[in-house]
Amino acid sequence: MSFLSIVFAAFLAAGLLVYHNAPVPRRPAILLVLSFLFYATWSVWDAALLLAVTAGVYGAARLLDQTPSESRKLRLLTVAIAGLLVLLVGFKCAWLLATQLNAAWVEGNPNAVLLLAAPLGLSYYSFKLLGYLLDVYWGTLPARRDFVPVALYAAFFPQIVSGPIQRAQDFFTQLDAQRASDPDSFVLGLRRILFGLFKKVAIADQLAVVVTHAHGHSLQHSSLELLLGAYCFSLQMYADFSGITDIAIGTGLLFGIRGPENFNRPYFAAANLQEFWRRWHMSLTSWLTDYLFVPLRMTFRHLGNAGLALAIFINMVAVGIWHGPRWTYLVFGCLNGVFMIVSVLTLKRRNQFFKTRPTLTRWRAWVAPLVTFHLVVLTHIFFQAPDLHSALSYLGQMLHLAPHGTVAASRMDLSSFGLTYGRLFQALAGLVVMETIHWAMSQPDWAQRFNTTRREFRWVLYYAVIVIVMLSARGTTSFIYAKF
Amino acid sequence: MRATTVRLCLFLLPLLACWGLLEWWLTRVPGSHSVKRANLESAAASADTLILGSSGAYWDIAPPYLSGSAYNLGNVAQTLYYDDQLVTRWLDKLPHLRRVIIAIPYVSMFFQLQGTDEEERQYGYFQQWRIPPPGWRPRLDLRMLSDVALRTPLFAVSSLETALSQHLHGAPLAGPPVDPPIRADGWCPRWPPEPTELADSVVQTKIAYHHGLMHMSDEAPNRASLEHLVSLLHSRGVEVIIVTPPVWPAYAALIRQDYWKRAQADFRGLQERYGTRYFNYMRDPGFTAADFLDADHLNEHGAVRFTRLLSAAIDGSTAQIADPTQKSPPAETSTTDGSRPQ
Repeated sequence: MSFLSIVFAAFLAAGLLVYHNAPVPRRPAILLVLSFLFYATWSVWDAALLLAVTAGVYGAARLLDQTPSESRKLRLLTVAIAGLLVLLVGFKCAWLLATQLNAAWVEGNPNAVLLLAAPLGLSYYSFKLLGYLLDVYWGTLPARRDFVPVALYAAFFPQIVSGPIQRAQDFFTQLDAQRASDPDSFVLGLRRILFGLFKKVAIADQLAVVVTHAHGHSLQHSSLELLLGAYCFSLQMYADFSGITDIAIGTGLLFGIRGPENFNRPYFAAANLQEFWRRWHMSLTSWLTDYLFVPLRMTFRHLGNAGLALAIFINMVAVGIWHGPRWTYLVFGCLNGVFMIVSVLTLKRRNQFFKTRPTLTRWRAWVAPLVTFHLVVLTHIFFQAPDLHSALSYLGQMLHLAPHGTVAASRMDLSSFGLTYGRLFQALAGLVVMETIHWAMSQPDWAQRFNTTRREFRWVLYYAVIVIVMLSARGTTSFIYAKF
Repeated sequence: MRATTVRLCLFLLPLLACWGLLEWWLTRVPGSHSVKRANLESAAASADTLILGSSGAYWDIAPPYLSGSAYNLGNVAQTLYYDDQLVTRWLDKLPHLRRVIIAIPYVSMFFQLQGTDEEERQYGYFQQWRIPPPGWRPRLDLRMLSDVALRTPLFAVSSLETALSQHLHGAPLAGPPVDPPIRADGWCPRWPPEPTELADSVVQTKIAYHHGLMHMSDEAPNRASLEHLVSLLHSRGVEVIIVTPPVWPAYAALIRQDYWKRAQADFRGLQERYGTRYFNYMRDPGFTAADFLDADHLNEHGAVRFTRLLSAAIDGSTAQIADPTQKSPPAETSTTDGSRPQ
């Protein structure tokens, strides 16, 4: 059941009706049933697996809480984490391994996808449960006595498809504080869902036309057109991923649970790569920072800068392969690791250099986000490509290093993408609107100030956005990050 | 909360009214399925030959050049499942049917609509022919019921806007015709040819795209559909002819032999069980660049040539068939040259 389907809208409406008419103490159980119903529409087996994994983690956390011996706790934690990682890595690599070992069987077997494909949202719920176990082990969170909150935390349907990865403590605090239904939170949720749809349909899907054509038919495009394709993919991914995050956060708000923010204007405000990663997929990077980078940094601290570089590199490689067992994701992670190491290790000197040159400092404020953006665009070429050969070929053609047919390198013919200037302009104008709204949302009390405007104004605005979304809709579409 | 819900319903009312208006409007705007269905209703009483298949039938086989009265029921990306379902539902309404030609290009035995960028077509089959898509998941899609969702709100609004502006100048309020136009016999001739489509790099991209659509796992359901279709027709005494249309040599050179051998084995099996005849023109050297629309489709000129060859091969004669379109090039003297009845 896709977030963009009418069935989801009907499911949501029915779910909200039941949820808000139920007594408050029963609401978590209702939400859990709704979450498993939603998940079972993708696969009943995957739902059964999720239930079993959650039960295992719930039991392990309870044991961790009750075991006084530190060494036994560590053994227990190791076994539980190893189990989760085996599950995660096993499913992520199953398809790759099977195709390597017996490609003919995979290709000829109609049940291969059912048997080998990783369950939907595995990367998200396994990270949530890993974090919960570590929090209980470190004593920052007591193990929950009831199974329902833990199961709901793992399966919470707005977040299971593509995050955000909410921390257990934040989720349980909100769940425990649930009281009567809050109309303000409800309206905020609907507004957020509408904004997410706008990003996805009016921006990401428009840019997808360029991306699909550029990557699918790179030989037919000039270097300049391929550069446009690369820019468009980075912008598409931003609009797409932040769009589904908005829908997830908005849907959560309808049930009174606010998920964590995942983006904070990463492209146009990040002065360097480390800042970019603090603003992009924030729930994953903060998770990895707390549960991987900080422990690694402590372990390698005796190595000085080399230890810091090692911790950064491992962290970024983890970011890359979290997406799946593909060489392109590994290169994506390695490239980010290398760029970030260079950026971190030279930051102090760069700051000193600019401190004595105030004229250049003004330029730096403009140029640094642009440089960061281009580095990200470069890494995204590997992220988008199906394999390393395709990525290198795309890059070679874009930089005019590889043989390129008869197309002039500087040609810019939008019709070669099946695109018009009007449609590209619409997407770019949408991006400007999106960033303006992001900026407005970052201002204090923006929601209250918006709510005090005249209702007629707000309704006209909503109608306008809905009409734009409707007129931009072009058939089947899926979210980039829903496959992880 | 109740006040919020009431306000939300009031807010949605105008949107639902607009949606309803657009749904009404699209009932007046023809699409390929509605045109094909209407034409079939007119042709059903007299048709003795039915042509089925994907674009390899829809564009490549010209009914006027076949003997008797033929109707082309092919459509773009029409899978064997839909060929089977269409015949199953329409067979009783075709009293004179004696022959069915199924065009099966290289891709067809290994292709299903689900999960491809053509999958929205399955909703058109439900809306116009009442053929549900295979599997339950697509049946939950809004496009099963809503033409606005299927053809997009943008299309609905822009076609209504154009029609209204023309109506203001005296024209009747009607939707735009189907483009490219479909003839009364169901054939959709394509013209002019696009020479750049035959460039090696473009052909490579195209076959790579096709290989991305093809899955060995789709062969079993397609074979089952084909078997059901052939056995049904066989039981009614209707002859079945399977044909593979010509493709550009650079395309033919890049096909995957394991796939193609599997398809050939399926055709042989049908030949043995039901006496189906099979004509393979895939590598026919008689077709030149002037005959092709792109690497795996013929243009109008090529379709006429191909249908003449096919007709002569089917009928076992070289008799020239009258040219009812008056647009085709001079009649070919070749008969089954290059074709390989198997």
